[in-house]
Amino acid sequence: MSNGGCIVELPENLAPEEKKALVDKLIDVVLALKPKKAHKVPAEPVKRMLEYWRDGLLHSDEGLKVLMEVAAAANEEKTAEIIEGFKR
Amino acid sequence: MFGIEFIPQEPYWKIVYYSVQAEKQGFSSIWITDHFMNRNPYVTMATIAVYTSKINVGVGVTNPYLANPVVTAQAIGSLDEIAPGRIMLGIGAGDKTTLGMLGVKAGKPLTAVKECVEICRGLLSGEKVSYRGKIFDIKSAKFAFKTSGKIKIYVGAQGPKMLRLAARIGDGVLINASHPRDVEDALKHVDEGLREAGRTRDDIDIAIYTSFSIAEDEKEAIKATLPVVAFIVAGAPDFLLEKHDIPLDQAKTLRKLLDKAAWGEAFSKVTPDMIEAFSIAGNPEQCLEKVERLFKLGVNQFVVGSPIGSNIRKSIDLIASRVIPAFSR
Repeated sequence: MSNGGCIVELPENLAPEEKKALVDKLIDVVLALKPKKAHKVPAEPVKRMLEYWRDGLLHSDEGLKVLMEVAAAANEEKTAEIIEGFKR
Repeated sequence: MFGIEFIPQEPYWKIVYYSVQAEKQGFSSIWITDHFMNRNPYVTMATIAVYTSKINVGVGVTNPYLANPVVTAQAIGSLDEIAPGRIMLGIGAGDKTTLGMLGVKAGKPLTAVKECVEICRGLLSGEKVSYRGKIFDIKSAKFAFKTSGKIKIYVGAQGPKMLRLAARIGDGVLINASHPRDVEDALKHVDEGLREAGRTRDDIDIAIYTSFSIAEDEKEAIKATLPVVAFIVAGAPDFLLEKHDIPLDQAKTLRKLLDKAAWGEAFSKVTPDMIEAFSIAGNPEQCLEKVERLFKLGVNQFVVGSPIGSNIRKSIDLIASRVIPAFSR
């Protein structure tokens, strides 16, 4: 699955509670980014991420894809490690 | 009611994320701090206003020195168009240290705040303002746009005179304190100001602006609060330190360490007494007990201020699930 500039892929067949746990882990990667590195986060995807968050759809497949893209931009290694942990 | 403070030293998208979370979790207000080195508070408020739909959003607090009150009112009035009835204006004396960096002399704070409130209130009510004060001289100003007319003006206060002024002229007062003894003392001055103006506590929103840190693990919450408490103690006047039995030499040591950016050493000098005096920090049960004590004093709004916690997202969840429900019953 292509995901913008993101090299990580969304794990398949995740249960709803797994998706929620994945969202929590990925959003913590994004929120842990130091203010001085904020420029690493791409402007348009982060806006889409906030829209999915506001609309309660961050755990949807589309929301997760955008979140993964933002998380990978913030910390690619950590994001890949988290995603790997959710693959069966 | 619970408010929450965010400092725009963080990128806008983090603050918007937390703001949406706070709205979903039942907070009533968001306060954005104003310091020139951080992102502009009004731009930050605009993004929050766009992404939220119910929660109130205010600048907490700006000062009368850096921008002419007309410009401040213009920003607030413009924001009201994005979020009608949800925008709040907080005005205080400003931080002398940061204003001093810009060569701004923050003189006559009581007069400056009073005049700023009066000018802003007039403009935001749609009036044509001609104001000849001791500090501001507005020949003639009127906005070419209308506001909702529901913009509350809060006065940020800590000292007795500013607290009395806030009670006399504010729609709300933002009291900078975390300890019940300080809040109790502040409320005496607020009551005095209300009496002077023929008002009662029903006429004003009494909000306390606290330094707050919550985590499941008490130690984690306390660790997060150390930097904030270190700076509060370093900047506290002697009378306030003495009131809380904090030795002046300890505060002096902290000031010296912070001045030379010896952060780790400075934070290690923060004592439990300092934490108790100037913050609310602990696990949810400990925080709840302290918040209850403050509400019992007659406070209407409790503002969760910096640092909130080591993981702000989790801390907001904790406040929403373990603190706020005790007050919505």
